[in-house]
Formats: sequence, structure tokens, C-alpha cells
Amino acid sequence: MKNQREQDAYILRMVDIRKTFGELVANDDVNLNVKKGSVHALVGENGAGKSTLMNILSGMYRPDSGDIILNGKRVTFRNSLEATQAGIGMVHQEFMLYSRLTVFENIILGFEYKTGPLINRQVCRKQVEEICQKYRFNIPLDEVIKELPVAMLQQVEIVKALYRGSDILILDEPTSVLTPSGIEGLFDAIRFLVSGGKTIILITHKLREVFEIADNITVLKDGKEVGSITPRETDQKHLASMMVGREVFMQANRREHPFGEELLRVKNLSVKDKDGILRVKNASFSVRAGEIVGLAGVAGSGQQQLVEALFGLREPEAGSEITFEGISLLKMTPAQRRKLGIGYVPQDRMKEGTNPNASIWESAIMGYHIAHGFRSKFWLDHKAIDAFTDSIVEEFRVKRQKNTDKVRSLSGGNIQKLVVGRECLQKNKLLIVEDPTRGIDVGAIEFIWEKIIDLAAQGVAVLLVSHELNEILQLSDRILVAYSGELADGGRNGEYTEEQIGYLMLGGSV
Amino acid sequence: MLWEILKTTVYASTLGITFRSAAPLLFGSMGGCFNQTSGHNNIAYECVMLFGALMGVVGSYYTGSPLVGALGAMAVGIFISLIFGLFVIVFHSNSIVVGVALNSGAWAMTTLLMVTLFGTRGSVTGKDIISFPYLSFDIFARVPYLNTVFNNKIILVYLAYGMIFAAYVVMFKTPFGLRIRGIGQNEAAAESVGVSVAKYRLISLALMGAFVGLGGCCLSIGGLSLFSESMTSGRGFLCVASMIIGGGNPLKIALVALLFSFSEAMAQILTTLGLNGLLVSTIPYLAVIVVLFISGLRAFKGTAELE
Repeated sequence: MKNQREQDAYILRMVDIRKTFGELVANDDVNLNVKKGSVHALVGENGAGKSTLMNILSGMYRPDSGDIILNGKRVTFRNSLEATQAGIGMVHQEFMLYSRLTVFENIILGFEYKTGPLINRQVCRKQVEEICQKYRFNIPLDEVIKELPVAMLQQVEIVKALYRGSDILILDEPTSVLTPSGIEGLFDAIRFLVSGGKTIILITHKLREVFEIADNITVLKDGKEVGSITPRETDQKHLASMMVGREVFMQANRREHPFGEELLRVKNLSVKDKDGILRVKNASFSVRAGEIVGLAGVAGSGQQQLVEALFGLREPEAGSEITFEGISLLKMTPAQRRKLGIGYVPQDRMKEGTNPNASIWESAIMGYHIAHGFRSKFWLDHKAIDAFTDSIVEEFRVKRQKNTDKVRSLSGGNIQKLVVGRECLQKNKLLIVEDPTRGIDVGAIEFIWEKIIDLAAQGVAVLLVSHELNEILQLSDRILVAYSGELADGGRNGEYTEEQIGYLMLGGSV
Repeated sequence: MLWEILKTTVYASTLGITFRSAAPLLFGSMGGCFNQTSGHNNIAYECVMLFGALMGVVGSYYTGSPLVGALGAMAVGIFISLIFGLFVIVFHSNSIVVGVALNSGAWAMTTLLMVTLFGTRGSVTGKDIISFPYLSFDIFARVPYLNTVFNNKIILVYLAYGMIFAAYVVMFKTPFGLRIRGIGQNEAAAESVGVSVAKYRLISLALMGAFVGLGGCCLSIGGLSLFSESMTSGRGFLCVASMIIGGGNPLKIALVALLFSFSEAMAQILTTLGLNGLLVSTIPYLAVIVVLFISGLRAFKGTAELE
């Protein structure tokens, strides 16, 4: 009897949800029980399956098995419209807005009140204004979207969902685009919404926010539900260890060796992103020859902007200093930086690392065709190029038919080996490596790890940026942890435990 | 001489030709602006318009009714636009390539049909092809100047101007127009609120086909009762140019289309003044370039951003 009453208190239950993408099990029989009028935090690392679960709830994906029970009734959504009609609204991380329409038009599009064939602006307007008033949103309805700041756009998205009659609002990492004052504003709005009877599902990986706003917490890890608790039953450290920490399958053979002199020196580096939000705040660190420095952090903590600034893809703020062997890099183009001996393995191997529609040999010399090697006076030196491509293929065991094949004919692991090989076989002094083993199989991971360790042993300085904490722990001589743009010291290898580093990644301190 | 040329710009006959020759451009661009705004790079206007012109003649020839001709022109336009839709929406072909193919094929197809149906090449005319009758309104007839400009035009010409108003209302006052504008700016967003992008694009395509076809028959059964090979001579592209410059606002698009028609009228009038005909006939196309340049200058705000 008591059990029955408890179930009635849940506005939404997701029971044994399973979703696979090919081999990958994104949701492994996950359960989620959400109480009416509460803020339910869904936490977990990148790739833990949070977004998949919410995409199922909002009708974007269909689960392989499992039930969604809304207000005690079993429901299935064939598309996002049906989920919307059932009262589920999602605010995506990437805003779903029309940049050249006004705020008002953005809100009503798709759900217009009509008189005859025409839009009844008065009725629509009244509805929107009532919602804004009730939940204290102060948004300029007649401004065009592209003129507005990000925090405002998020409010537009929330009002848009409310206008469609959403009772359950899913907010997908809503604070990642906001400034501290913007976050306060958002939390105030969430509190108003909840006091008005709405239910909020908050996807996040920032512990502080969870403890500030959430009533209940569900933790996902590797597609599985690790547990559901309330903030009162736990503390930040415990929650962090629930989120990270897993069995270690792979072991890298790190070799202790003396480091050389300081090659890269970064002082007070601040970088803004394209929306003008400060993503790197006063970062200072250095990398010595032969040293592997690992930069850990959840995605979007400023790593991307940091690397872009180091490689010359984004201009840092005034007062920042980046020197390489004592020379300032600030005014240099990426090509000039490559000439100095800085290599870069970008995170996205298909978009930045290679041209998937070009041949293997073209991708093998990409970025180095001018910097060094391969250039006779006017023509490409195909003999040298072929020899170099072959050497990558051989040393990095790239499985390919011939050098003239298209890059996209290779598997992900082989493309990654090609990119890593290209950067490693040039006589670079510093290598910036971003997620070198993302989405590739175990064998290839161990191989690439081995190569990076070899390189460091030969005296190359390596800055390893990775979202895989295990990779950082396995390879790094020294660890830095990024959290919302600031760098924390993660100590020498082995100085802190995995849990402690994980805690730093989520904004704690050790 | 210069004074003479300047004077021709306000001649009643110049404006009369402008008023009349704007009709196909207005039908084409007002009917097509929804498809354009929804994010289709559709350039098949030349093809649809040419087929519309031919079908107008064919329908009128076999039934003796210009109205049937006009309806036939609209039907063939819808048919061609659905072919475009099949390739671009269903098969995800490149819209420019499909447009180029349709435009290039149109001349051959219409000529072939003309030879098959009428047994002549070059052009077809005759008393069996009935054009729309000319209308006159008393209020204009009282003033000779207005009489020349506004009277003795077929009904389609007046309807073309009604299209401006209709397109404006549909674009800015109805859910259809709002959704079309939204789809053009962010497909994923429209899809996320349950607006079927494919459905709206298909409707907008059908509108484009119907009205560009109708515009085409203004050329062939709008008084001349004649169809000749490639008789649209770039008018389809002028529709596309007007829509691009007008940027999705029917009023602006109509203004640009009228400017093109005016330069076309000027070309005709200046030829009668004894200016070099070939040189003069470049005026409409020069006008396109000038307008593009000016609208480009307005949009130019310094160097492009990286992102």
C-alpha cells in the first residue's frame, strides 16, 4: 500500500530503459523516478548516457526496451511533438532558436493561436506575457534573437517550453554557457518554476550546482544507473566517487626519466570564446622537455579554448603570455608555430585532423607541406611524400590498401594513428595532443599510448589534453585539472588518487 | 541627348511597359519567395517559366480558352517543381545541379514539344491561340497618362500586383509564413517543435511551380499569342535575383522586380530612339549587377568573422 502511494508521488518514471547504438550500450536498463514539483539532477561523466536518456524522454530517440510512465500512465513518443504534447519540454545545450526572428516569433512558432488563417497575435502575446509575469522572466519580446546575450536566449528557450504547456522541463547542462551571475539568475528561475508546480530535470556534472538546487540525484556511469540519492544523504566527495572511478583495464608502461629544460611557458592566459565568455581564466603552467603534462577536466571546462590559444587558433586576452623556448608565440600564426617545432593532434580527427575526402598521403603531409620537408621549388615531391607516408604506415601500423586511398575509407582507429603518426614523426619539440584515443579500440589505444611515452622518453615535451581521466592518470608525469576555466594542480603522478582528481574536476578541492 | 534619355524614364509608354512586363517577375518572385525563404537554393525558375509559357499556348490552342491555358501552365509548373522536390528533398541531390539540369533541359524539351504539337520550329503563333482579353477601367481612362500606364492590360497583370499584398500577408501574418521563415533559419529547431520541414518545403515548392508557371503564360498568351524558343530569356533568373536581393521580404522583392522591369522597358523605349539595340538590351542585366553591388555594399561591414 505504501509502495503504491510512493509511486503516485512520481510524475515521471522511466523503467529499465535500454538503448544501444551498434555495439555501444548507451543506456543499460536505466531507471529514473522523478517526483512532481522537484528538481531532479541527472549527473555523470561525459558519455555516461545522460543525453541519450533525455533524448528518449523528449521523443528524439526510441528506446530498445523499457517503459516511460507519465502521471501513472504508460506512454510512447514517436517524435518530439508527441513528447511536447504530453508536457515534456527540453532546453537543449545547443539552443534551438531562429537567429533572425524576434523573441516572440521564436516562442510561438509551431504553436500559433489563429483567427481564420491568420496568426492571432493578441492571444499569443497575452499567453507569453502571462508566462513571463508568472515566472518572472524579463525578456524583450520584440528583439531579434541574434542581438541578445546567451543568458537571455536560455530564458527564451525556457519560456518557449512553458508556452507549449510543459510540466516537466529538461535542462541540458544549462550552466555551461552562463556567467556566475547568469547561473544565479537561472537558479532563481528554477526555484520559481518549481514553486509554480513545474518539475525540472537538470543534467549537469558540476557538484556545487547539484547541492545548491537539486532535491534528488540520479547518477549514471557508463550507461548504467549507479544510484539515486538525495543531497542530504551524501556529500560532494561521495558523489564524485560515484561518478568517476572504475576498474582499470589498460596499463601503460610509464618510464621514469629526467626532464630537460622548460620548453613551453604559459602565464596569466585568459581566453574568451566566440560568444565573448571568458573560458580560460589566468591559467599559468609550463611543460619541460621529456615531460608529459596531462590536462584533465570535464568537457567544456576551457580546455578547447586553451589549446586553441596555444596553437594560434584563437587570440588570448591582453596580458596573457605564451613563450616557447623563450620566444613569445602571441603574434605567430599556426604555420609559424609549427615551424618552431610545435605539433598538434586535434580532438576532431575528421574535421580538423584530416580531410576525410582527401587521400592518405595528402593527409599525411597536411600542415607540414610548407613548414618543413616535402617541398621542391614548385611541385610536391611525391617520392619524399610517399616515403614519409609509408614510414607512418609502417611505424604506426596504419592498415590501408594504398596511399592514394581516401582517408574516410579507413577506420577511426587507423585515421587516429595516421594523425598521431604525422605529428610524431616530424621532429617536433612540443606536442599538444587532444583526446588521442577517443573512440578507438583497446589495441589502438595501447599502441598510441606507447608511442606518446616513447616520444617523451626521447625528450619531446607533451601536453596531453584528455577527457578520459584514466588516460591522464596512466600517461602523465604531472597533472593539471581544469574546472570552469581555472587550472588546479593535480600533483605529480600518483600524488593524488583517482577519486581526488575526479573531485577536482567537479570543482572540489583537495 | 542625355536629356532625351532622362525624359524617356517618365514617358507613359515606358511606365506602361514596366507595369505590364513586371507581371511574370512578380508572379515568379512572389510565388517563389516562400521556397527561397525556406532554405532551398532553387534556380529552376527559367525551366518552369518556359514550360508555363508553352503550356499556356497549348491549353489555349486546344480549348480556345486562355483560362485553361493558364491553369495548364500552373499545373505543369507544379509538376516540374515536384520533380525538383523529388530529387532535392527525397534523394538529397544538390539543388543547384538539379536546377541547372532542369534549366538546360527546358529549352530542348519545349522546342521538341513545339515541333511535335505544332510542326514548326522557331516560334508558333496563329489565330487559334487565344490570349487573355485587355481590360480597361474608366477611372484611368479619364487621364491619358494613366490610361497608357494602367489600362489595356490583361487580368493577370492586375492579379500580379495583388500577389505582392497576398505574399506579404502570408509571409508575415500566417503560421505558414512564420514556419517557413523559421525553417530557413534553423531546420533542427523547427523539427524539434514538431514542424515538418519536408512538408512545408514541398508546399512552398508547389506554390513556386504554380506561380512561376502562371508568370510564364503571361508572356505567351498575355496579348501576343505567341510562343518562341527560349522566350523567357532570363526572366526566371531575374526572379531569383529579385528574391535573393529582397531577402525574404515580399515588398522588397517586388521593388527589385519592378526595377528590373523598368530597366527592361527603358531598353525597349531607347531602341526606338535609335540607340544601338544590342547595347541597350544589356540594360536589364547591368541593372542586376548594379543592384547586387549596392545591396552587397549595404551588407558589407568590414572583414568576415572567423566563426
